Amino acid sequence: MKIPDRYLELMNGRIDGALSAGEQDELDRYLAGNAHADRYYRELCRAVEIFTRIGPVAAPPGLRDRILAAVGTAGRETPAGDPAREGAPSLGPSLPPDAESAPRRRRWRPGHVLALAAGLALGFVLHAWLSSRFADVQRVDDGLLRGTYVSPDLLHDGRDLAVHSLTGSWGSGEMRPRLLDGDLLVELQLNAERGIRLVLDFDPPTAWTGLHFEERDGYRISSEPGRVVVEGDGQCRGEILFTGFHPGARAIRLRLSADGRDVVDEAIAHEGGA
Amino acid sequence: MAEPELSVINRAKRGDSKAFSMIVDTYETTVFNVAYRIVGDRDDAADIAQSVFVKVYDNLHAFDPAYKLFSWLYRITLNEALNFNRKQQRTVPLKADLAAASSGPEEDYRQVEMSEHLQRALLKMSLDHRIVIVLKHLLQLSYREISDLLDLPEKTVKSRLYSARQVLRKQLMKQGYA
Repeated sequence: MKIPDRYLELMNGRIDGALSAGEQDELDRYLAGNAHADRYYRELCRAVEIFTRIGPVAAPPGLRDRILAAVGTAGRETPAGDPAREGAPSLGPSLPPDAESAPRRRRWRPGHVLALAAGLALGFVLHAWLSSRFADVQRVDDGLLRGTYVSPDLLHDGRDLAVHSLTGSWGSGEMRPRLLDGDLLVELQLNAERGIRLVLDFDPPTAWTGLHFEERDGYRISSEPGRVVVEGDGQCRGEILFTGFHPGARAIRLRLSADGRDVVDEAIAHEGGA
Repeated sequence: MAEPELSVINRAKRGDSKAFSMIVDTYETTVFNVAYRIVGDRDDAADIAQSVFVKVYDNLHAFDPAYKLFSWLYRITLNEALNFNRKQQRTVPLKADLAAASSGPEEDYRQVEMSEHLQRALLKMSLDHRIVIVLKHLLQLSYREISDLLDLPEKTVKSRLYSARQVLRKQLMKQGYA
């Protein structure tokens, strides 16, 4: 006998303590007159109660010490020593050992330039859910922008992606995203002939947990949760590392403006491309 | 933490290792449990917990206090556990490591046995279902908090949770538990 959705919803609502008095009465009346539903509800409650009855599993002895030892060593050395991150900017020491109050500084590395890109209006949209499969790469061309939408599954498969190039009256740019051990590394090259402003908005805003990049004169980078903004002009080449990249990330929306005018926005957000 | 969390975070950001230890003390068990319930193996869960705290340590400077620490930390934990699952492409272990988790007395053993039933049931569920169940009933997060953490509408969280509970019930019944 099928239990109507309405009552399934009420049962779950009661388990979550989210029912009003009226809804409680409605459910009670229904259960009182329906033995099958009443049994189902009790089984559901019992299944959920197991969590409160068993409580948390004890962590292995020594885990705390292991963690503290790891942050004292691996936290400093892993990024540079991990071949999988070859080419990624060094995360550097997590906390300055000699300055308790000094915030961590972004390091500049000569020869590599930041780059965020600007221009890149790369149209790269990671739309998709964890388990969905988008093996396609979509292209868009609106005259100002040539780009490629990249499916997240390509990233999640750990494959290197083809270079995504963008050109327009503002200049040109290239981007190569790679997923490295749960982090997203974006290599960028930019040649902006005019002042540009690139905004990368991540969907969801918490798609990454940390951000590392290198800057150089001529380009400014700022960030806030879920957003990275790059402003400047000229040539640059560099990398941005988004650490703790969320495998459920749906999209990165790029908005590029040159001389204060939006040259890429809707095109990037338009999943269908052209 | 007796000291306000924000104060502890700020001290940890400044390199105060004692403050970071307090963060580990506060969240170690929870992080381990979330990882364990998702990946199903204690050793792997311990590795994941370690990796989570290393990432927290490395990225603490970028943590925005406008967000809640637990929310950030749980997201990192989920990411790590999901990445681990993806890398391993592991087959579901059918037996939890009962002996390792038991601490002796019969009552404890019974608890562990129940825990094993639960673990088996969880590992038979889809990852989506497993995650919402763990977030709701292990971490006891609200719909809103789960919604924020998974970036799903609350409505979707609810419906996913409802169907996850149905699956959990079925799995536990198959084991003669529920």
